[in-house]
Amino acid sequence: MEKNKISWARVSKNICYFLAPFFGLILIACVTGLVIIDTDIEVEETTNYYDTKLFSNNYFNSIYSYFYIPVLANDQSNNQSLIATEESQVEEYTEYQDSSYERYGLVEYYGYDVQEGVIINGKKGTIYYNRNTNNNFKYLMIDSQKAVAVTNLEHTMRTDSIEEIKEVIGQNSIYWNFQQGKVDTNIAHLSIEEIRYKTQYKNMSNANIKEVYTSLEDNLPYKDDYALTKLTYDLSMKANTLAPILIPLCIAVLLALGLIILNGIGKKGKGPGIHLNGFDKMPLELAFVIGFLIAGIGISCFAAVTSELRAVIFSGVVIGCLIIYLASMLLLETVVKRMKTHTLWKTTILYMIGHGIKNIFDNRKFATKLVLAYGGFCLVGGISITAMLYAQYNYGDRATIFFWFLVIMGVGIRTFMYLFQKMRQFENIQKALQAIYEGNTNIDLDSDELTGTLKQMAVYIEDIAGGLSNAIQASLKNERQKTELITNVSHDIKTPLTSIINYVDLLKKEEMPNEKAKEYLEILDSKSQRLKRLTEDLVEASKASSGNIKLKMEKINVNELIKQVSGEFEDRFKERKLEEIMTLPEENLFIQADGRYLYRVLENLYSNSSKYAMEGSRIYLDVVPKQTSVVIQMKNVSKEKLNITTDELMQRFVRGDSSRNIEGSGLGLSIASSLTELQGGKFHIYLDGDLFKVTLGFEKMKE
Amino acid sequence: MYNILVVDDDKEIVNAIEIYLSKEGYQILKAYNGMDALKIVKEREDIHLILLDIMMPKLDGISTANLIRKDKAIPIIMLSAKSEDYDKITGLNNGADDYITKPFNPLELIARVNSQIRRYTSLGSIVDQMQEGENVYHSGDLVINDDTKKVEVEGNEVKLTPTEYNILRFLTKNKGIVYSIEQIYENVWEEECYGAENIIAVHIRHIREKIEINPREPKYLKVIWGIGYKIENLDSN
Repeated sequence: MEKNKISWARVSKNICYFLAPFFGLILIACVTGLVIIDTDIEVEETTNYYDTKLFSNNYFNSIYSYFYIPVLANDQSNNQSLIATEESQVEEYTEYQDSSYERYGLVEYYGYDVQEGVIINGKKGTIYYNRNTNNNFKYLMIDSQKAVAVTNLEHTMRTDSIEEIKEVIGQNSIYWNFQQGKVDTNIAHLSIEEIRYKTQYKNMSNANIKEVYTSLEDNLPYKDDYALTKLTYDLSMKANTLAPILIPLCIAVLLALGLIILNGIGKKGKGPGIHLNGFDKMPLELAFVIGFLIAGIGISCFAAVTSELRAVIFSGVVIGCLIIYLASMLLLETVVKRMKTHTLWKTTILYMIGHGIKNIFDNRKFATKLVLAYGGFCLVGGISITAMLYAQYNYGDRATIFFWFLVIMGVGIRTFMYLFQKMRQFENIQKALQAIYEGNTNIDLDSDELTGTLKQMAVYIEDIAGGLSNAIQASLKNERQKTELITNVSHDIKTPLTSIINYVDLLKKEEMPNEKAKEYLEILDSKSQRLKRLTEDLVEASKASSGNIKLKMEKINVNELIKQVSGEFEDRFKERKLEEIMTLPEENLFIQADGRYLYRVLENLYSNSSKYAMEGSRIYLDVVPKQTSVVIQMKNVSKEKLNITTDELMQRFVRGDSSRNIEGSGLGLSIASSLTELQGGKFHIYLDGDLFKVTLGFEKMKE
Repeated sequence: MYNILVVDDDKEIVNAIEIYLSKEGYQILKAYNGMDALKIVKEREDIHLILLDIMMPKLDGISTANLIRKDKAIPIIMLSAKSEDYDKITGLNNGADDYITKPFNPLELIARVNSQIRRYTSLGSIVDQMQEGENVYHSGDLVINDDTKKVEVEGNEVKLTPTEYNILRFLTKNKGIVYSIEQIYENVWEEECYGAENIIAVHIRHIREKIEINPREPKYLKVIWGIGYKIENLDSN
């Protein structure tokens, strides 16, 4: 079913193709008619062909061209010479006749029949019958002096008197007679008043011929020039009257047909799409060359007009027109189809070349492009300046100078725009990269706005940002899950731990059987306490490192905080004979931090010092104000050898001493570092021999 | 003789608590889940305190506390392994009067139980029993009588050094206000502070150790890290 479906659009299109030429011809005829009536023919206010000057001129020429024949015939009563003289006479006066002698039927010469012994105006004379009688123009020229008459009436009439010939000629309604110096006619423009001053008439009146009888056959039975001209005239007149209706009508119909054709082009029975054939896919220029070649064949058919056979002329013109029409249809179809599929521009060779150049340009390195753009600018600039200077020194043509000035300006502005645009795009990419560097992976690079290499870059950057964002999300989720797990596990550990601690405590209150039992109990006590600390620190470390902490940032006085913390550890330092040397600045320094968590950081550091510093040594605490920051610095000398690196020390569960005898989880530094960074601070550890140094850097707050 | 209901699904913990509190002279009732606890609370009118675990089968501690609070004003101390701030706030907002995290220090547990029992059984506040004078400063159950130079916390007398006493009196007199080390020094010593270093901080810690049940989590003398110290205003008016 689907296959046999007829596309009505296509069918109607083809019908329109068929109809269009007819309406086109009518239109052309109307327009030509108008043009002819208005310009070519000197139209009087008449609709009668016989009243026109066109007709009267033709008629008078006809009279004049046959006029001398009897005169000459009289001189040499020889048929052959008559013919010769006739031709030479014609050649002679064609010099001042603007029309071709062919039109008067003289070249189509069939010879003359001669009848002698006829009474002409009382004398015995000769009548020459022109054998070419296929002429609407009938004439009888009489030289009564020499008794010679010439006519183109048919000889078969066997008229033996001039009177009869006169009578036959006189039967027609249009006539022109010249008799005894008088003109008798009903042709408006050939009255004696109108032709009196014509050279031809003067010649005629001076000639020997006394009588001329001419008339035009009624209804013009012969297809000669009179008939043709009258037909043209009548058609033109008709066109003239119908033109106001026909021209708009034809235009409307042609427009309608055109629309139907445009709609139907490219449609086929199957599906709604536009169907392209091989011709539609070849380069447009090539298609046009082929189209014009075909049209050229059609035009060459017009060469047939030079033929003598009307049939050849007709068929030549018709075939030529048809071929041209087909060629233009072909081109119209392919152009419209290409437009419908938006491939008109893309299928041109020009586009392909341009595209190729663009591709070559696009795939260059950025620097190469800049060099090319700048080089192009310099080249055009150089040419322009040279041309300007040349124009200036040679002919000083201001217009030329101005033209080259415009060229140099145009190219300059275009080059600048190009470079400016590129720099802007480059800046956008730079901003995006900076955003990523600062941790904002949610960048918005409009890659549609960018071009060439930069567009490629933008796409890469977006991919990187997307990947980074995903990685961060995944990592955060992972950390959160870890924290949750650790928190849950620690809850589960805490419950049995409570019992252990409590019963160890109760046991301590009981009477022990010996010293050893007491010692074991001490170990249980200390280890269970350590386990408690460990579970607490574990949760805290996990939360701090995953950033799973809600901070309440406040304005913190660094001096106050250090004094407070120091006060908390005073006794513990004294226990181990440690001396704290505090160096605080005179003025109060403020930073932005969460006091509780910053205390936790310092508590861990102080706690470390109180545990691991060498007994009897000094612990230095300095608060150093910097240009934009405040640095808290703590130094102590370790009692054990620090046989590890800074990084190792920062790792969770690593402690400076390998014995692990002292209370502590080994998470202190890790927690301190994480918490410091969470609050926007910088945490550093320096190891130099047994010297252990920690610095906390915070941005200074303006008061 | 006060009756204390201990609720925890871990029997050993309940037994340990029983041992500690019995020694203090309390009568102990035991329950191992929320439902049992509710039953006992309904049956008996003479319960003076409930120690309630949060994570329990059948009915958890938070729901139990909520149900008890519907018609009873008995003090409830939550006892839980959950140590996050969020957990404590949830507990305290759902009817608990205090929150102790596991593993707990037995001494702290006893102190907190004593404190709650005292508050619940005393008729009105301790301050009312004392002579209200111009020279008596207080916040909650911390009372300083400047005439007798006596400091009492929850009815127990606390011995302070003169410096500690002066600092505590100054802060209690201006309870609720945060004072920096410098300000405390200038107000107590009545002279300008020159590099007082950590003296005040040491004193404050000593005071805290004397008046607080758990100096690490003070109730009265609070440390605002990096800003100063204050006596929490625990009086509603």
